[in-house]
Amino acid sequence: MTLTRGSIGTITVSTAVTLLVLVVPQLRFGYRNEVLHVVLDVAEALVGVLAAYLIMSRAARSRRWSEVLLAIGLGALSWSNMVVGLAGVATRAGDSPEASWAALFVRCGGAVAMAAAPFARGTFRSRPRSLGLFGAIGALGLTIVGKLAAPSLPPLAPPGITPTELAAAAQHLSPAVLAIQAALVVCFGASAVGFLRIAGRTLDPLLDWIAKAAILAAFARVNYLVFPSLYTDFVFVGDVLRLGFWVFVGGGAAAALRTQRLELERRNHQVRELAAVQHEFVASASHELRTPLTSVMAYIDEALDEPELSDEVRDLLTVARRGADRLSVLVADLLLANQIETDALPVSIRPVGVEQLLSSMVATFKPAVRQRSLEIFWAVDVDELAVLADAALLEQVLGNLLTNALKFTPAPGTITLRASTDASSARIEVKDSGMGINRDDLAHVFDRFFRSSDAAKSAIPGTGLGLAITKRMVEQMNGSITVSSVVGQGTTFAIRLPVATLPKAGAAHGAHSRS
Amino acid sequence: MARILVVEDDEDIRNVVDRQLRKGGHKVATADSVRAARQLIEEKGMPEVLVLDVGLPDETGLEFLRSLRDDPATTHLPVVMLSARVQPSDVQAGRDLGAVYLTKPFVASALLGAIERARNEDDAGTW
Repeated sequence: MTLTRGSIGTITVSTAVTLLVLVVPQLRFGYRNEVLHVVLDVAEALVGVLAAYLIMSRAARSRRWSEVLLAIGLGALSWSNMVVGLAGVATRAGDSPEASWAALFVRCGGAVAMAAAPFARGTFRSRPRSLGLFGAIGALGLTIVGKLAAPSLPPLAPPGITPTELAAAAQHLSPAVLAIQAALVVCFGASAVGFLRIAGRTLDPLLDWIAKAAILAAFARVNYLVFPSLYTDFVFVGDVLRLGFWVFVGGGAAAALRTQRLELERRNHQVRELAAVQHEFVASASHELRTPLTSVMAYIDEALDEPELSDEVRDLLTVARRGADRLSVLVADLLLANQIETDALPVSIRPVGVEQLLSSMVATFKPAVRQRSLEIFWAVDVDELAVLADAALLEQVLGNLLTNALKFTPAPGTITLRASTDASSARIEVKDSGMGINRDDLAHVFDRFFRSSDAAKSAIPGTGLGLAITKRMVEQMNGSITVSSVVGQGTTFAIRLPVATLPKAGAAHGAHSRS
Repeated sequence: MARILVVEDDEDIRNVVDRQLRKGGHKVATADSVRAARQLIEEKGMPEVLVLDVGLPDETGLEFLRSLRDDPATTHLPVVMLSARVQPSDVQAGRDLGAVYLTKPFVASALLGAIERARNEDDAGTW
């Protein structure tokens, strides 16, 4: 067993306090101020509940039996304080015999859990919440049993008793009560020894604090047990030590929180560093790929430019050129995705006229739409609608969505661009009558490098970056994007952006519908 | 038609740029470093347009361009920068020095267009 310096200090102080009051037994503090007692009981209970909660949440991660038992034990001990405290409030006269017995029963349960905790090995599979629930049910059960059994048990501390009467009563404490106190000493002692051993090995600050707390609890019980003839004084000393127990438990909880926070910070730091390395890598890879890609594209172009080329070679080179084009888009997309993630993309938000934007987008895409024997329509439901966005970025967003719609809509089909508003935001949707996206894939369309199974099957080219980039771009403009789709009927992407100018009321619905 | 000096350290790209510009009807000289470019300028005089890579072995294209801008004789020299660096800050640095910034990979028509733009911008003195 390894004793930390702090634990030795705790034992020394506990012993010193006990001896001090032994040496000066005539000290009278006029103790048993009931209000103070109640306040202390409730305060201790709150510390205990908080500590039990923190340790339980730690146990939920580590799944160690020892931590779950510790949490249950502390929970039961704090509940016992609550029982006594609340009974004190209810009777306005301090301890009631029933509550005292109920509390003692619960305390015994808690002490057993505390004693078992450091010796419990292994991890559990069930959910810690249900284990906590069992603990709570157990504590409640012991409370009820204690309360029901109280009338047939000797009185512990009758309400409204004076110190002198109490001292006299203590002379006649029943052997049963003494046996219970002795058992509690053993339990807390065992708990202290067990936790000291683990804390010495793992240097876990929480368990070190808990071990010290258990030492105090054991000493508190020794005081209650050994000196019944000087009951009042030693009730006081015992209570001080018991208060110390909760202070130490609170210290342990604080230490556990601190460890957890430091660990979290360390991990966050690691994640950030890793992300930085990844971004740097992607940026430099994209950069390094450009030079050879320039050669590939330029030399293929030069070869294609030769007049004396056979049709076969021309076809072969054209395929190679198309591959180079796709590679070039991928390289650009990678860098763009990277920039958006590192917020390196400059965005200037200004009012953007939706009507002009949509009409110019449609004009740009019309040749490609015609080439695929599709139709494109657009409509702005309100007059002079303007959104707050970066014009170039928004154009790229709509361009990406239109390109997708083109890729996934077989002829004969339609693509519709429509802008509308509600109270606070504008909605621009790109709707196609294409193949649609199945339910499983729909949840992932905005993930990086995700390619829908249908797209892969139909050999529709793509990098799986377009929609991820699109989403980030929309978010950079303080907007949001959603998707809905019915397989075989089509897909609708809807962007929401803040409105720059209030639309005029009563604008004719579909006033600007054009094809 | 213009006399163009191409400064590019990658041999393959230097050759293909040379070829593209000649096809576009320009007279071309090439250099693989800033030092070689300076020497060529000393021997043959200042070109009408400079095509400049950014990442060069001895001195970056940006540094070279800055030194040219400091010289009154070349303050207004039309320059096209070619670069694989496409971060907005890189592009801005080139533009701030009055260059038309062309990112790699590029196609021949874009290069020839950039040459024309650089020459026109210089006439208008807009940079």
